[in-house]
Amino acid sequence: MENQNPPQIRLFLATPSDSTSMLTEEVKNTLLKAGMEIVQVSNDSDELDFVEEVRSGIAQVNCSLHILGNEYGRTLEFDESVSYQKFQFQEARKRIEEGRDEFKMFIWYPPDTLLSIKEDNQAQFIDEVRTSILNNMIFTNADSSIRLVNDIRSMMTFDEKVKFDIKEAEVFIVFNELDESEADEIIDMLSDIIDPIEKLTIVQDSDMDYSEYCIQQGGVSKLVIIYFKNTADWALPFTQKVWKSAGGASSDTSIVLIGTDDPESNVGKKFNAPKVVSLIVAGELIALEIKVQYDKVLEALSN
Amino acid sequence: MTNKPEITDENLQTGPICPYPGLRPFAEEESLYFTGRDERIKEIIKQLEERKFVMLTGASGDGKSSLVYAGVIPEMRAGLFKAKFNNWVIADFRPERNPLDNIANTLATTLGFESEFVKTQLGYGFSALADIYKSTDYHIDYERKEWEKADEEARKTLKKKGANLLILVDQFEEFYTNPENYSNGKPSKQSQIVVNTILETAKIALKEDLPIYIICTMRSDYIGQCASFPGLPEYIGFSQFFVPRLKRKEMYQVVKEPALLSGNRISQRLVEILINELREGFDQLPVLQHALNKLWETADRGKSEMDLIHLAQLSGIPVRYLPKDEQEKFKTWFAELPEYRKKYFDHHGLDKVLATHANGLYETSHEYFINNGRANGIEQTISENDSKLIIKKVFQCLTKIDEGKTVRNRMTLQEITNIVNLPNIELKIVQWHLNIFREQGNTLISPFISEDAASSDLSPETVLDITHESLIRNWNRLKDWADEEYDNWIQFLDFKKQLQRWIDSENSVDYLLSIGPLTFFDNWYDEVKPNNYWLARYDERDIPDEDKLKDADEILKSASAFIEKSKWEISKARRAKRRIRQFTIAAATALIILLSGFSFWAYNERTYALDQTRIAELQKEEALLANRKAILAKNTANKAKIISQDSEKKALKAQKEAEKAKLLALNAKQLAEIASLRAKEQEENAKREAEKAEKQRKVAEVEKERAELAENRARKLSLLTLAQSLALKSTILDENKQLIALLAVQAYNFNVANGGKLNDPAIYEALRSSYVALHSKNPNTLTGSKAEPRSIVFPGDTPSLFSVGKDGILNEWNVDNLTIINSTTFNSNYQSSISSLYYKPDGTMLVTGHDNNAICLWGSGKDNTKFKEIKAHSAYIRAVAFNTDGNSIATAGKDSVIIFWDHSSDPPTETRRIESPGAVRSMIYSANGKFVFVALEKGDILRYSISSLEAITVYASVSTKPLSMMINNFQEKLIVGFSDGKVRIFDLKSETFEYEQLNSHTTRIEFIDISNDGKLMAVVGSDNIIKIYLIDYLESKPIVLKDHKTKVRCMNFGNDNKLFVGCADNSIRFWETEPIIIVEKIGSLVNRNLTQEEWEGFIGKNVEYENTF
Repeated sequence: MENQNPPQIRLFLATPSDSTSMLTEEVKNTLLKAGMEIVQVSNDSDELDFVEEVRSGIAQVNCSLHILGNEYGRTLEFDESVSYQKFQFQEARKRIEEGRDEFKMFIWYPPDTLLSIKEDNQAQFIDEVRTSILNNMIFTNADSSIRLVNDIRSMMTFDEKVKFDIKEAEVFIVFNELDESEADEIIDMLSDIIDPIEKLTIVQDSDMDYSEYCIQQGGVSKLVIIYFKNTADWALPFTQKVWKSAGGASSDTSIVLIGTDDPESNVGKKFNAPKVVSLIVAGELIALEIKVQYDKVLEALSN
Repeated sequence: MTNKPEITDENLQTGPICPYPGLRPFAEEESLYFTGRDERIKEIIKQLEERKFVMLTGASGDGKSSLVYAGVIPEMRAGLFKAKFNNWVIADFRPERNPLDNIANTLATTLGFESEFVKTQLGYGFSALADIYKSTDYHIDYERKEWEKADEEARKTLKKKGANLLILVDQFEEFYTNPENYSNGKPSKQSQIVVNTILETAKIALKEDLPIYIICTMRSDYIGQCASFPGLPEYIGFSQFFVPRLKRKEMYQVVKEPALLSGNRISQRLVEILINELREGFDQLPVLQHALNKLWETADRGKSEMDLIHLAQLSGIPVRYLPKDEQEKFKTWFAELPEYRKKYFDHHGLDKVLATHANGLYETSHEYFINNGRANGIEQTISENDSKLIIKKVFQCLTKIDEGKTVRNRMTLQEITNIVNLPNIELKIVQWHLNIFREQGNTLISPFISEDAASSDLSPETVLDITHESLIRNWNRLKDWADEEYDNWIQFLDFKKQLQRWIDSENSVDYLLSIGPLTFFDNWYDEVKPNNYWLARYDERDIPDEDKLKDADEILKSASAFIEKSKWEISKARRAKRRIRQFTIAAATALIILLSGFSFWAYNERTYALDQTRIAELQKEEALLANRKAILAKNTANKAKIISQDSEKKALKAQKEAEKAKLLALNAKQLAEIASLRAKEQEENAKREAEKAEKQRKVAEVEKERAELAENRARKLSLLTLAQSLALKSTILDENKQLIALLAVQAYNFNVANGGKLNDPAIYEALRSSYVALHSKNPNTLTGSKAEPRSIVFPGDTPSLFSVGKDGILNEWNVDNLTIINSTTFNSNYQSSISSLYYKPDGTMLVTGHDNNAICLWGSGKDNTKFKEIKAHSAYIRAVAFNTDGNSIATAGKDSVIIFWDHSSDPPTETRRIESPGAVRSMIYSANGKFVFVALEKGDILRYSISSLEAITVYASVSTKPLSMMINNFQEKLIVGFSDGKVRIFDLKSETFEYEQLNSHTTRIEFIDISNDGKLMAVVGSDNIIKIYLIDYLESKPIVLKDHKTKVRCMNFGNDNKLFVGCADNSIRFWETEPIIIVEKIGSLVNRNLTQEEWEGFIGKNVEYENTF
């Protein structure tokens, strides 16, 4: 089950135009029933107040909801080309462009709106919205307020990751318990020349989230090594899992998957992917090969 | 850490790869790109760890198989599953048509046994499977001596060999969908064995803590049928996992993460549109994955960023969804498409992508066959029509109708080829026709072609299958083919019934087909060409295939015979008919001759008969006549009788009347006496009537006077109406300006002369517009200001008007010649910009609010060095009120503080301070200066006493807010304009502040002002419409001004009741409010009166002519 205690969602509900006022009221009630806190600026406010309240409202929430109606609606006095809807949209978008946090904008385009747009400038505004979507902007045509609110709740719920006690390391080595003795020898050899080294032994019946631990520890280590001798069937899928969880080709973590050429079945057990080096070498050369990869990292860092 | 250097494998293959598998499920090796289900995988694993069995159910297309192969299994292998051993052996199978064979084969391969041995063992059911596992090296018996005696190293060695066993039953519903496994509601023996073994294994694994795990995947619409296997419903209840639909957040992961993981690029707007375009229903995931696969391909195989234009090129969205520049690109691309592809763009949608793809393959299949078939040694020439027919038949073989739904049907290549039944069409030809659907990037039929060239070839026993049922649901052409196939089968069944009847009747001719049905079935037979393989396909009996074919042969032979016999009988019948016809013609000829002779004889006889008939008729007539005479005599006798009866009645009647007359005579005497009395009465009445008549005569005279008055009134009303009509005409006519002005003035004259309202809006508008039209330039606009006028005043000591804007410039205007006399910059020395302006009505003081929350007092503003600064508020001010005592002002604003000042000192001295219950919107002193009325932003209006600072609520708002206030000193009333467009007028004499309400505007009220003589009230709404009311006649229609068409920034009545407004276009507009003044002004510009002709044309002949001026 997803996180039972999601963080409090504080949502800025954009002031509607006349055509969406009833729908906005319905959505507002649904949002409240779903336990969200709503910040909304009154339509009756003086324009100066309105502008200021919109800005301060958006600054204090973690998401906003804008409902697109079929009318352009009331426009600002100081810029009659900008409707109240559009102004609120632009202000919320500014916060996303700043990229300071995970603020999200939800733009709801109810299915009925498409059929009844009354003004050209509203059609143009909607087209602009649709074709200029950024990350953290969610453009939805949910068919009901219940579905919309469900989507908001699911998008605003973040999985709480366990925080492990990790330490910065030069090299982080992961191996299966069945290869423990060989791995310990390698670490012994390396510890004279590389320090500190962090290690992780994968034990089959443990409850630990190894994948998450590897991501966190890998993030503070210069090089991640996954070693195998007798456990190729474990090492390859494990490496794939770690690579995927870390973000794959777009991640910062570089991984070396290294195994011995004995047993022969290990030959060919490689994982071809960006940010991954796969090596099968003689057992006595494992430590040396790790040192070579580590030196490459250091050289690249110094450049 | 960021900015870490990337280390690369020199052997790494460059170039983007496609992370989306398309229509088929994810395989284990594709687990890298299987996203969006992390939480579900964890839940399934947890359940499996605890219970060792999970039945995974869900709707078709929800990704059950992918979840297991690419989700759960990789997690297991990666050591993220709590189990005894590190290693895993996985035995996966589908029931298909031979579930026992299939499970035996997979276990044999996985555990290293002979298939036959495993099949035999499993045939005993129950613990057979668990026993097989326990007999392998994968199982460690911790109670065995071998383990007990072993040292740590030896135990490690044993553990390295150990492995957990996963048994995966994919597509469990095949136990019900294949007739070999399930018919008439009963499972077959094989099915029973397999299901029993699986359930028992799960129980044993739990009981003995064996590392054996079982996962089954099944479509949830088959849950009901599970009751046919003993123990299965209970076990499903024990451990079932229902795969939910993806949430929106998970959808994002499915679409975006594979691209990021694989180094591809996809635009955010495309992601949003894809998710929005997905329809609820069975095929969400397959349709999405297929579309993503095609998008990647269309985006130059991942070299370009996947974006909206690529989706448009797949007919996923209409062109209008694209940005303008991309629409042009699309149109250029579209123009070069072959014609058959262009028609696929008539409809759009994500589901259409699949159909467009499939149709494209269908259209190009012939070309594919020619190119690839030839390259692989096929010389035979096949027409395009035949190619398409082959493909149609292939797909008809791969589908079937099951309980009204079209579903997949697996068949071998040989079976399909047998059914295709076209001359010279062999296995290889069929194979190379369907290979286009098997290619990478297409994968609509499995098994798929891989990079290994040998995978193009299929053996006759290769089982072919449509990759996913979403193809059937979304490709209309396939649906139509399947429906057609089903219709063919139904037709055949109908035919078979008739055939059977004929056979049962021992081939009686009575049961042959008649001409209509024969034609129908004959044509159908020619078209469909059913062969024995086609028939055998639909034979659901549990008998060997050879027997089915044999029976089918028999049926076809009989069918052929049936048709031939029917044809023969019909042609025989036709011949017989022909003979009969010939005989009939000869017989008819003989008959004619005979009849001719007979006719002559008959004619003579007839003539004689007619004569006799005539004689008989004559005799008959005589008899009738005699009869009539007798009847007549009888009637006469009757009549006489009736007459005598009548006479008797009359005599009686006469007697009665005589008696009546006697009575009447008596009555008459009485009446005469009464009449005499009455005559006397009437005489008296007549006298009274005479008196009444006299009175009425007098009344009539009064009525006559009234009538005359009414007539006058009617006349006046008529003229008033005429005035209205003239006024309206003058505003809409496109005549010369002089005439229009004359009509307007004449309308005014009629109005005044006949008691019309002085401020009639129509008359006013007619006068105003005709006056403006007479001028060469706009006579009521002051231009020249460089900023919007925010306050206008008329200092009493000058005829000028002063306006001031936020640019800090004070303009003095000559209203008569519409020019600026003087401009002064009054705030050039002050450091902060003006945010608000308040001019004292008498023009002696200007107060400005600034961005630094300070307030400045400028004297009259003319002298820009004389100012006083007040810094006391912590937020910007919204309201300033000027007391009539000349020395005190009040300031208030956003900080909810009201401060009273004595501004005679420098700096001004704070005399009082009030903390108001909310931010202040506007404020005004009472006429006597003892109170101040405060309108709060939240909506309430309070009255504060200056001396005691006590507050009384004048108005408690529920929803609407007061925006502008004015005191009417003449009537002691507080006039307030609200956000709901209403003006509420509070009686200040009343203790309870009763108010009357005027529904002035439909938009919020921006400004209100009262004329200096207290007769007029002007109200401006945010719709820029100005309405001028007569204060004493608020119920009357107001004058409406809207020719300014620009935002109003301020408003004020001048000393002569002209209304001035400052506008957003930097101008000041003004209007005369006294119609007579406008008339005078028009008079100075018009040099004639109406002509007689104009008078009669616009006003009428029945109104006496008069001069307008």
